[in-house]
Amino acid sequence: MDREEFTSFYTASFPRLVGQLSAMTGDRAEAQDAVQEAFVRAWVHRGQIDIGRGAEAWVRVTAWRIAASRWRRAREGIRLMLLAAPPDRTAGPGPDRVAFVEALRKVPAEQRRALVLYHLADLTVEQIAAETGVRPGTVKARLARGRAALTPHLRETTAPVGE
Amino acid sequence: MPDLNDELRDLADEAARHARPLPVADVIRQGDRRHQPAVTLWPLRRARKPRRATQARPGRRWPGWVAPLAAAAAVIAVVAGTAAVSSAIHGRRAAAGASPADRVIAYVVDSESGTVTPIRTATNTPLPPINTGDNSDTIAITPDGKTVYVANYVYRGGTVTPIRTATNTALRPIKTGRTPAAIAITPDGKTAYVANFDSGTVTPIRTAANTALPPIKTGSDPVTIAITPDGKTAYVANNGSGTVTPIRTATNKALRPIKVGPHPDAIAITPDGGTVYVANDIHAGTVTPIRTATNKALPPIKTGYDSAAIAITPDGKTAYVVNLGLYPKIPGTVTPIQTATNTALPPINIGGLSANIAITPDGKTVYVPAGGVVTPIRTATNTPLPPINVGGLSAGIAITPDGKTAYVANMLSGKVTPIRTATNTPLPPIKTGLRPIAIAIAP
Repeated sequence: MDREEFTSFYTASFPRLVGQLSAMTGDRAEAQDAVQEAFVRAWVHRGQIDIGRGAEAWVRVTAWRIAASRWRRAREGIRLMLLAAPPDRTAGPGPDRVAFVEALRKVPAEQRRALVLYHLADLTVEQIAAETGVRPGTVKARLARGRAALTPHLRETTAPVGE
Repeated sequence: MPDLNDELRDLADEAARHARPLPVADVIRQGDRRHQPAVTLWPLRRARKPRRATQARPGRRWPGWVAPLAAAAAVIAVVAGTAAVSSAIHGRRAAAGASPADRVIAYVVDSESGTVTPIRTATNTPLPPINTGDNSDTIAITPDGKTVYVANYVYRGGTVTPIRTATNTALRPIKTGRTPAAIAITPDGKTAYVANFDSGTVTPIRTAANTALPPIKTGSDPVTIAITPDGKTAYVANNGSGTVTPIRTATNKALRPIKVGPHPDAIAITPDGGTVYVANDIHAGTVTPIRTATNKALPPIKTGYDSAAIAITPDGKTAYVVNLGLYPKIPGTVTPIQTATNTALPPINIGGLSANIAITPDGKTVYVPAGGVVTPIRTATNTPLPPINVGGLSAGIAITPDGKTAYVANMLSGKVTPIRTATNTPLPPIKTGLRPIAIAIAP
């Protein structure tokens, strides 16, 4: 990937990946930091990354690793290192979405990840299995559990919650 | 009514609209600054065996220095907890001949170049770096100072590299579980326990033969380990499950997990072995004490935003908890906790964000690196002294067994700054790599 290819890849993929990581992590600012750092690494490792869909998956996996809870502190460090303007933390999700985001945050991280890869990145179960390093059966279970946990929290849901 | 698909898509679209990418030139500049193989930094005086340089297997060099300021937290617990042990060994070494101070080496782990750089503390001179593997970030040293263990995070895998301190050579890496996040060594030095973050297991390593024993299942995302001074129990904090798993070291069997707060991230044990303190790190920070006699959690103690590291004074009277803060809105603080009553004292401001702490072996001073400064805190009065300017972004910290020098890793400059503790003045920084993250000192 040369400089020009990287630039167009970065420009095109950055917002999309921030969107996906936001849904995976339930935190927009964290997602932004993780994706930013992942792109720095993508440049470092550009020799090993194929242009196209493979590159976006590479950045997504890397950003996910960075966003995993253990590395929250690293991200604080990253923010200092990148010397970026702090992201706008006041602009949260719209009020009607707060309940959904709250519910999303309660879903185990790997279930969120599977849901996002399926619904937002349009990956197949097999592709998700490859990206997340588990068997397809595990992916299916995560999708089912994640859906079950989130369905009661969809907007305008008036049906009573419960079995 | 929107379905799950729409809901997720709306959420993602909204976040995407708010995305604020850095200019691409900045991203490239950042990347280029990092992309210097460690080997080129150090002209070797004499030819050694061919190095297992990282570029020799480029396919395995995945995500870079993910590991954090966190690593040091575990190290610090060890450093603080074994101060007495260190001085004992010290005495033995002295009898053997050379002055003990000459032999003390600070080992600096670099998270970017996959190296460990030894620093001779007597002269503050760096020795040639030792290649350890990819993305090293966690370090522990056996109580006898003979072996250093460094954890390497490899994509979908993990290893621990032993280093023989007598020759400063790396031995063959030991395969662990995925993403080794912490190492703790029993006081008798016989077993090293490695927390495998992504596998949800702990791998015991027999240090005599450097062989891994079968992994022990813990909760999800085990992130840090502390071992009781009697060596009988290892306590593992499971960041994902919000629990602590005690492991009986005699049998390597996990006991029933103990529920603590959300996202436990640091752990320390009082020198008498009576209480384990667990820092719970997300947002509203708390510390949960666990009585080791019963393995029961006591009510959580409120600390500050995002508690991320703990160290306990050698007399066991005070636990110091570092609250990371939220850059740039909430400053980092340190909360002292009186262990006799488990009450928190007022927080002490440390200027910037921090996840590291070290206490001098005499227990008189706590050092907290945050941003470009290190704040000394007098434990007698819990008052901060004037901050020591080290510049850049300070990360890991360790103090020599004689308490005379504190070493602070700087992740921006790639250097380590020694601080003379008698006067709290910084000495000239020592270049150790690209992104030094954790330090441990071998007596």
